[in-house]
Formats: sequence, C-alpha cells, structure tokens
Amino acid sequence: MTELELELTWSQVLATTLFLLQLALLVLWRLLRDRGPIASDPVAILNLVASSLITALSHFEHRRSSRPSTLLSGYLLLSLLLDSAQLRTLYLLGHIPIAHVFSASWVVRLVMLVIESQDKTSCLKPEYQSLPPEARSGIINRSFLWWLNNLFAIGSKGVISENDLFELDPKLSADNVGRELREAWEKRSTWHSMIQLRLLTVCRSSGRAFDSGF
Amino acid sequence: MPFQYVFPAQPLSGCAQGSDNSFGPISQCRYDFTLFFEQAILSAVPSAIFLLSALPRLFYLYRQHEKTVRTPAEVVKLVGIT
Repeated sequence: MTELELELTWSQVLATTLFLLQLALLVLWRLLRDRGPIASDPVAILNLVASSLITALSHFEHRRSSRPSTLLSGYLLLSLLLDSAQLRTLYLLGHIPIAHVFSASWVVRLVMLVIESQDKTSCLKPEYQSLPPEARSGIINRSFLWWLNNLFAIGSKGVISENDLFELDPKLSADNVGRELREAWEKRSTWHSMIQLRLLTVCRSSGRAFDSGF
Repeated sequence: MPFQYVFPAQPLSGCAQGSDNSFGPISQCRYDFTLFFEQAILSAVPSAIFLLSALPRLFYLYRQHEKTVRTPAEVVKLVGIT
C-alpha cells in the first residue's frame, strides 16, 4: 500500500477548475471549426497551458514565498481586465455556450485573485512570522500601502513609541547592505574596471567642462 | 451522428458573419473590437508573457526553502494500492 499526500487548498481547487474550464473552451472552439477566428484554437491551447502553469505556480508560491505572488496576481488582474472585453463580444455575437464557459472562467479567476492576494501570516513558519508587514504584502497591498493602516490605527489612539514601529526588512538591514556594498566594491577593484572607472571620470569631467562653457 | 455545434442563428448585434474573423482591431459594424483581435492580442499576449516569466520564477522558487507550514486541514491523504 502506498500513501500519497495531496495538498488541497482553495486556490488549488480553483486552479484545477480553471484548467477544466479552459479545456472545455478549447473543445468548444474546435467544434466551431472554421466559423470562428483563425486564432481561436492556438489561443485556447496557450491559455490552457497558462492555466496549468497557474496551478504549479500557485502551489510553489504558497510554500516558498513569504508574500503573495506578484506574477500571479498581476497576470490574473490583467487577464480579468482584458478578457472582460472578449466576454462582452462573445455575448454580442451570440456564441452562447462559449460565452457561458468563458464567464465561468472569468469568475473563477476573480475569486482566485482575491484568494491569492491574502497574506499568509498565519501559515508562515515561526522564523518568518517576525517579518515586517511590507515583506509579507503582495503587489496590490504595496501599491495602495494598505500595510501601513495598522500603524495609522495605533497612531490615532495615542503617541507612537519606538516599540510600535515595525521590524526592519532583512534586505535593508545594515549587515546585508554592508555585505552587498563590500562585494560590489571588490568586483570594482580589478584592473580593467579601474581603467573603465577612470575613462568614465574623464568623459564626465570633459562633458561638464563643455557645459560650463555655456 | 457526430455532434454538430450549431452556429448561432441570430447574434445580438446585426453584424456580417465573417467580420469578426478579420484582425480589425475595431469592428466595422458595432462599437467593439473584433473577436480575432481580442483573442490574438488581448488574451494571447498576456498569457505568453506569463508563460515566459513563470518558468524562471518556478526555477527560482524551487531552490528556495519552505516558508509556510502545512496545516492538517489542507492535506488530503490518498491511499493507493501498489
């Protein structure tokens, strides 16, 4: 007897549903044959492959990234906006079965977008729980700066003290930045990059000399 | 008898039947893009960009450590017979 462990999350269920819906769309476009646009079949296949990658990406992003996926939520948002035009066109053209399946896949993508944008703080391992909110936020959260709301709430109740401030993002810590600077400096110290640096300085100063003439 | 997809008899907008198979991008008879344009550009291009970016991202993620814990509710055990 072998035991197989499957991870069943809502986003995996939705991603599988999306894959099946895209498969149904491919079948329907194939049935329509030459009466639809030439691009229908290749585009349907492309979207099918994309939806299978969504399944894989959603799984790996959930496990190995501490923040919601930029690529996934960006793609879902973009495809929702652009496909709403195609949805309207399909209904106007009267391709009713295709339009229904297409709107089902649109709704599934919308729900997936909402789920993928949730932060994973409750699922994170203990060593990653102490990351600052910005490092745990997805692209939409960071675009609207919603992660700052907690700090504003604390501030509206009284004076903010040092303890209320978030932890520093590890990327910005002095240790890491110092190490990056040292590595970049050591790369620059080689012989030919010194020549490059001098040439660049000569060009810049002569450029400035010409400018100052005006 | 093989299954035949019945082409819609009456579209909601009164367009000629082949007009949406042309690239357009704007449809001649209604206030819309052509279906061909919508599929080939508005749908295929984002998907293609996603495909090209998802593969490197998957390779990057594969090398990362796991950062989330498995909650028991999430795991479904399937028992199979060898």
